[in-house]
Amino acid sequence: MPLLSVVDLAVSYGSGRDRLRAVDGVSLEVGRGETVALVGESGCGKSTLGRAVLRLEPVERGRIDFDGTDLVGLGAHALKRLRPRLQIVFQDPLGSLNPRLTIGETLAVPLAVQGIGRAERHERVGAMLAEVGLPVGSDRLYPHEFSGGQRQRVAIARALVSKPDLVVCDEPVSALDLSVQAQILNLLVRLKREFGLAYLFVSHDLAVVRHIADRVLVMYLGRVVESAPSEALWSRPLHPYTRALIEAVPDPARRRPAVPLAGDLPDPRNPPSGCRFRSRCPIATARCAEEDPGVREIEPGHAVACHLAPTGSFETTVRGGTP
Amino acid sequence: MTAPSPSAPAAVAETAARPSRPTMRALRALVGSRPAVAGLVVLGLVALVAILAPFVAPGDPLAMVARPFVRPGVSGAVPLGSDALGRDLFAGVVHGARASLVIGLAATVVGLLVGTLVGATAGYFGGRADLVLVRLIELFQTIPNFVLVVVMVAIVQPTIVTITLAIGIVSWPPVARLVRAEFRALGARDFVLAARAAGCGDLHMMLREILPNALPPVISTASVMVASAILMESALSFLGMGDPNLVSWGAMVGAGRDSLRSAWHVSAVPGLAIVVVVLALNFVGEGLEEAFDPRRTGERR
Amino acid sequence: MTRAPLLLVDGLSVAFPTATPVRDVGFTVGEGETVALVGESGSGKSLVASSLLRLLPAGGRIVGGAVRFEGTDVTRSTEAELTHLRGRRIAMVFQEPATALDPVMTIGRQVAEVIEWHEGASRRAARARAIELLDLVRLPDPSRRVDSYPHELSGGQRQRVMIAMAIACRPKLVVADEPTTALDVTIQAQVLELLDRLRRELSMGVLLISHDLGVVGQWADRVVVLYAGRKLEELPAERLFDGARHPYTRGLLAASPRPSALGADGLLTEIPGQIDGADRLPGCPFSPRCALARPSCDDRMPDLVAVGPEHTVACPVAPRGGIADAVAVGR
Repeated sequence: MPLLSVVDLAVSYGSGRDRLRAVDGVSLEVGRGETVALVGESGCGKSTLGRAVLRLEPVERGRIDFDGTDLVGLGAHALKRLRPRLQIVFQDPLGSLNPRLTIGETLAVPLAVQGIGRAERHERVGAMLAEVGLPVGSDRLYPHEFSGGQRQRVAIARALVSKPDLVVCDEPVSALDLSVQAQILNLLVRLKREFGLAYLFVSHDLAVVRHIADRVLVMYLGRVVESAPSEALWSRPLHPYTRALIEAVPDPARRRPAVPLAGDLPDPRNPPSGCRFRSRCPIATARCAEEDPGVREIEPGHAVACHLAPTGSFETTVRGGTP
Repeated sequence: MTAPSPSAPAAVAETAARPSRPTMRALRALVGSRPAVAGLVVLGLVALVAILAPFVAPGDPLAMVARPFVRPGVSGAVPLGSDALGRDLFAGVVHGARASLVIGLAATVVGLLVGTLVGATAGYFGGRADLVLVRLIELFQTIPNFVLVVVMVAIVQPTIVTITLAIGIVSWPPVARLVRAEFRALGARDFVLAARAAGCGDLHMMLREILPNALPPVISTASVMVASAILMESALSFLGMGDPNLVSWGAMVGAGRDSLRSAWHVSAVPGLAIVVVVLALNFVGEGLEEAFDPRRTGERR
Repeated sequence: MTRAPLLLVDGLSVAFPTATPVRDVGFTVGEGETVALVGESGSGKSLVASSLLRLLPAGGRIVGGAVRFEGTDVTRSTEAELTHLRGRRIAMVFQEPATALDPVMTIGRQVAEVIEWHEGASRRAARARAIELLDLVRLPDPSRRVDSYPHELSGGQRQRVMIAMAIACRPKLVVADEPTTALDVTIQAQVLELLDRLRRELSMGVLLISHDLGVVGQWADRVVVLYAGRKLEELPAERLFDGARHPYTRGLLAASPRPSALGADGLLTEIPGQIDGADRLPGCPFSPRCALARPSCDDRMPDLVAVGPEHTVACPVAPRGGIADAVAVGR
């Protein structure tokens, strides 16, 4: 049984004509110790999905089974008992830390909620701060006294101090400079190995995702268009959107490349009929406007939502294969 | 296995030199503002005089101690002159400070408590609670404040307690709006989401995560609220609707009204006291607002 | 190159009351050429860009060096001469098109105003030009979109409008400060392609400010690497990924999450530490984080030395060889 199993999840905001279905029928699984990435551009619903898994967003329909318990129907008390095992790291490390609490106070919060005594709290906070590479004495400082990279270490420590099984990482390195990005990515990889963590890793950056993820789900306008093991996605991308994303990763081997994808994201309140990607798709046919392509498994672990995916001379259009 | 980042102590080394608590830094910024410091000094002196009133101006301030309409600086016994009944204006101002400050502060506390409670509830829970409370706020804001105070005081006996409550009741809506807006904005911030993900209850979220971050603008508003409460009490007393057993600056101004042409100083002396205190409070308010400005106290880039 | 370059920045230093965030930076941009200033936050790259038009933030001053544009020294120009330069000869494109556009004015009006202002065109002629320009930047359906307000456009479309405004007066140099950082990757590719097409068609020089080595490697001709206000290396963009010599440049490349950058343990090569405070050091600002640093690196800033065609490095211990070696050294 997977650690996390999301079935046909939908999250929407607003109502009536302004209703925005940010996540529209997404299913996914995360196994113990596995890193699953959600990739896509702004407005694809990846962050909303990540937060919905923690019940931080209102769920419209679907199931979120965490270790055998459906979080969607769960009462406040039972949810609170499960909270320590499900944690989150946000994109903006400054915004995710309370400016009026010291680092020690912030880290003690998840432990105090569990009713852990002061002495043990202090000990675990100190140990966790050391674990993420912060110096002794950091617990007495305030968030503004740290650099961006250090703050993200603090945010990671806060997520891990309650010994979670699953951590949702919501663009955890996007706000950081490149040289610091590598430090934080390495830290996440090390901590995962050390504590046997599973990550649901939300990112717009395919290069980062390729580095860290075991499996990748590509999202577009609230739906999953392709899911595959990380390497399979790169070597054999089946959905035209996935291919465009891969081509858009700046690759120095291709100087002044052609534009991989024309047009703009359609209004998410009023998505195109049939396949939602068809308005930007270079190979769309009449059928794509009429029929919603369901997600089909093409090979074990590799699924795609595209009428045209496995047919025709598709393979030849994949430029370069692996960049 | 864990490789500590070698340069991490950058922050640790720097800290000894400067106060780091956000509140401390704001206070330091406040002390750096000249008008705010001047305001604080004036308020401190006024408070001191009010506390020590029985020693600074012994005896009953309502007693007749001199000829009527003595001009200021003429008699050593009544340095600021006397009014139509020969009462010492200096004693009146000194004792009046007590009424003004007590009512100003107490009414503000009432307004802050009610406003914060209503605003926090509306802003945090949102939905139906928000809808109802916002209507309530709007209801209070459509009624002219001073009229409401006059009506309330007219219905009950005008005592220091009823006047304070009446002023407090009209002054909470702006606080509620402010607190509601802050709670809504802060409620969407990641650190609040993180606390929710940690399993924190509503009370912890409101009191420990959101409220401390929502308070700075409320605190700077508070000093201006004290000023407007003092003005309101003065206006009430001026109209003769104040506590008759209380010496108050407003009542003194009102008492001098009839002799304004012949003895302007009877109204001017307490009037000046009101101006000075209200101005000082506004200076402090402005200083606080600047000190709490996130662009100053927040982030180093 | 015998002709004088379009833009020549020489020994530029920018100071604020408490810091000197740009020190002794020099580079050139030729006609029709794209030069990239690349660096992380705190590198001073944006300050260099705003120095070109003397648009430094409050408190900032150019305290040394020269900025020669078409032969005249911008640092000595009068305010009137600068006004002539801004927009007409040198144009800027900023990171955040949402805040750079006026929310209550139609985009057509905003583009037309630039033309009216600089060229004294009539309202009608300016509007026609605006539609032409919006077409040139490939805004879909320009004759209708000309009356749209900024909030009715997507981020990518707003950046197209910004670019239309920038090229309205046929500038010789466009300074693009992180023009795609706020955009999605597929839109980023569209905007970079647009800038590059316009550069060719209008033979403009482009100064591209970016933190993204991949973007720079793809779209620039030459790359200038800045760190803590110092220029550490300059090299042809096509040599960036296998010919970079400075330990910092190589460290950045090794820290990028690319398959070739992974060590045997599946981890990226880290550059330890952070940039904070490096702009106050007397020597090489990167030396506290540099695995190859010698004591002499802390004493004085190494000179820029030519190590190949159009390739200079400010590091006496800069290694040769490919990135694979840099990874080995970094560990």
